Amino acid sequence: MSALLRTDGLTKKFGGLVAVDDVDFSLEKGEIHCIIGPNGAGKTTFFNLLTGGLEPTEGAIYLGDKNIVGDTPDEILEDGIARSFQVSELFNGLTVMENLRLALLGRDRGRSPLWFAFSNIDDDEELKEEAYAIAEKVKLGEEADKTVDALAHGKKRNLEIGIALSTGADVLLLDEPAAGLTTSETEALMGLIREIAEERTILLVEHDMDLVMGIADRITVLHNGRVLAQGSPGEIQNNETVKEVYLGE
Amino acid sequence: MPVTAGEVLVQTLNGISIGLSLALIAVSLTLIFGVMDIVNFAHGEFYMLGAYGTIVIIGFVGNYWVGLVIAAVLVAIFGAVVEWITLRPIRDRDPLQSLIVTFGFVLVFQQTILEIFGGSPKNMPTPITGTLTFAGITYPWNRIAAMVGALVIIGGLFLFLSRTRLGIMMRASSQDLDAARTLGVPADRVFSISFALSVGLAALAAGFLAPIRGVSPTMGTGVILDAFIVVIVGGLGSVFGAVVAALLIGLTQSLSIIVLPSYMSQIIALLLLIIVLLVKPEGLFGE
Amino acid sequence: MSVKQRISTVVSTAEENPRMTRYAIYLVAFVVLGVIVPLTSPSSQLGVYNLMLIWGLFAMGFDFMYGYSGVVSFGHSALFGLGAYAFAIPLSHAGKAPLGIGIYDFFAGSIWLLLILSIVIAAIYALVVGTISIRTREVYFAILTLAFAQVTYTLVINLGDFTGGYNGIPLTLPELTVIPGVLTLDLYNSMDFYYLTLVIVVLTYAVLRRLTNSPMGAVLRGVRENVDRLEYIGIDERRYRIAAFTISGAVSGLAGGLYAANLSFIGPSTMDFVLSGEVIVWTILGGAGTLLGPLFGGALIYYIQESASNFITWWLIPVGLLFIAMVIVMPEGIAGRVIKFVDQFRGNSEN
Repeated sequence: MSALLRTDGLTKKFGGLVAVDDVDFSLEKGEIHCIIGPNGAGKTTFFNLLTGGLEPTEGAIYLGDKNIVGDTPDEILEDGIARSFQVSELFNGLTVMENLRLALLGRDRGRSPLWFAFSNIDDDEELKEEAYAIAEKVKLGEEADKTVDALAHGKKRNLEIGIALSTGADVLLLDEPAAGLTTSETEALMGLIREIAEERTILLVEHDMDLVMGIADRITVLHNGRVLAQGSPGEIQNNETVKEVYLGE
Repeated sequence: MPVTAGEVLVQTLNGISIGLSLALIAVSLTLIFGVMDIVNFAHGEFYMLGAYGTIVIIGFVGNYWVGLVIAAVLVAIFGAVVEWITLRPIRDRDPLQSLIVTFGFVLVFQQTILEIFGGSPKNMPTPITGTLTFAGITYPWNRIAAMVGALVIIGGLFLFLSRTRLGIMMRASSQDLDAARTLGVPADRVFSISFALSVGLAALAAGFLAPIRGVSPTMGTGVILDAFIVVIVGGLGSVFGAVVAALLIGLTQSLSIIVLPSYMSQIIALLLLIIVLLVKPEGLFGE
Repeated sequence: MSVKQRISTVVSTAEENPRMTRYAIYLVAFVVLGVIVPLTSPSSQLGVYNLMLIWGLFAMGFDFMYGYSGVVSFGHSALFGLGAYAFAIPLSHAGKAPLGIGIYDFFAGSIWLLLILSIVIAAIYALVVGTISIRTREVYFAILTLAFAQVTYTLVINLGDFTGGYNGIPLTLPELTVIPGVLTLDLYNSMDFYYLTLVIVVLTYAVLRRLTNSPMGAVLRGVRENVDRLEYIGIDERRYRIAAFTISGAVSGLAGGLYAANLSFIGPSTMDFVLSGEVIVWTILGGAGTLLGPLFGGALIYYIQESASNFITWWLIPVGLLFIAMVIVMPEGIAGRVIKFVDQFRGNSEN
């Protein structure tokens, strides 16, 4: 199977509430896959399950052949899944470059504080250059030495993606990357995601239908925690059930 | 030395009376956190101000209960002023910042009282003297009054929170501040009143606990750690949890004194705290 | 040229030659602190300086944790006190051999070993407390450190046979051998003690500075800015918080050991809760996150305290009020303000 990431009967219950209901899902390597659905359809819960923020009530999540249920977020990251957040979670007092560099540190050494306590981090030119390069990639080249507080909202969303990118993970889960962006900013974002997708596999949750239809290779529609439909943008657009439930909005 | 049934009964009653008085302080502490996301390190200092205030005002009015109530009201007003000046500006910050700022209050309040009244322990006049003999033991009325008084006030607080408009607004703010705001809850006023109410309760608690535990400028720090342990074990923000945890800790400490040296009681409280935090970090009844 | 322009020129020259500037500052500091001060100050004055250095060291250790990783501890008095007791107990039990092992005498013979013991014992305590407490939220962690410190204090007072209880124990210090046969210091002599402490403070600063400039330092700042995100970029933030707490504890223990040596006495006041509070005040007033700010903050406020307490007993009240105001209005502290002030001139010189 070429599926990079797949779920098998994934279910999450909160007391009596079923947030995610028996979801079978697969993500192909190299694709851009979008998850859409009305509010409360279970999209963010699904993300949290995939990244180890929540434990499922039932079901399995396979990354390659490995079941990653029960792994912590940093373990899952090591296996190759990184996420960005709907509300930006940035390192506020630090500069753009420092934010990205931190993620690079996580990629390279991360867990133990004991190994690299005595070298001067600013002497590591390679690391700095890598961080600056990623800043360029997410269109923050000019702002690379500015602190997060000085950035506009749109730029912050770029940094949010940049951090996920810096972790080196093959699979990027982007949670509403276009949240709060203007139409032109969203256009720019679409271009950025397409560029990134050349080297990574991308799964994203979104509300903005123009964005979704514009960049998705495949779309999964969630409703009340269940998979309503799955397929190419064209198939989804023509799907009667989907149109009834969701696309009309 | 064999343990008698009488001893156990006395210590059980002690545990309950200390537990309930502690509950009074802890409940008001957890209320502040629940409603305002502020951890009030100086909560014990307001308790102390209540004790000293009562002593001073009794000198003017002669009656213990009147003095206590007036002192508690004055402390509450003082609390509202303090909240307005120092806590409002840092409201959006991390609760850790509130811990640090209120720690500053501890310094200032303690030193001020030390300057004015001196460091030696004072006597809190006891409102009720005499003892009650029953079931083979003799128990001071003082402590019984403390139990009853604390129960009445805590019961009153529960009623206030569930029945009155202000109480319901406070509970709504503690659940979800933004939702409460959109429903028209005036956050600023609710916060000020919550804080005033809470520190007023702490001051009131002095009326019951201070005659037992004594009065000195450091009495606040003596009580705050226990209060924190109660609040954390019970669950930050849970009034019911604070009462349960306070009774639990009061009883455990009092009963353990029967078999262990008295300084171990604090270690036991700490052990309880550690166990709860390791097993259920949100506390027994916390979210 | 106006004064402002002159300052701008100095600052820009300094910026362009960072190495030269640094060496110049080191030279001045060396001359002033290493030569002028000790040789021109009377012994009683040196005694005050010694304590200033010790408290400054304590605050600097606290700042490494609080200023860089944002971890708050209300129980640092235990770390300081344990360092002091670790230093004192082998000395006070010299001659005794529990289980036939002359362990006390092993340490009691050498000041170096005693100071190392101070560091190690405090670090172990911090490691244990940190590891137990780390699963909890930051607010609970702070309160747990307080709880542990109180328990430690209670134990020390109640285990009087071992620790000397309430009354404490006077100590007899051996000589400090720096170079065998060539250089020994008598710690009862203020100037000798001054040199020892100064060197220790400088070395500690160098080590801590290295750590804050390292990748570990970058991660600690990440802990301070957004601890939740770290997990999602592959960093186990708990280990770093424990590391910050432990290293801070080690430095605090060292300060405690020096304190015991300075007083040649050990008592439970070294573990008093008041110390936990004072170190926070020194750090915040001095300027968290700068290492040097709290070093000066601790030293300066102690100095003011010593001078003022001859005249007034209520000096802690204005200090407390200032502290509250600082947290609300100027969280970057005095050192932070100074840095901002200097930055102004940087901007100007670029024009």
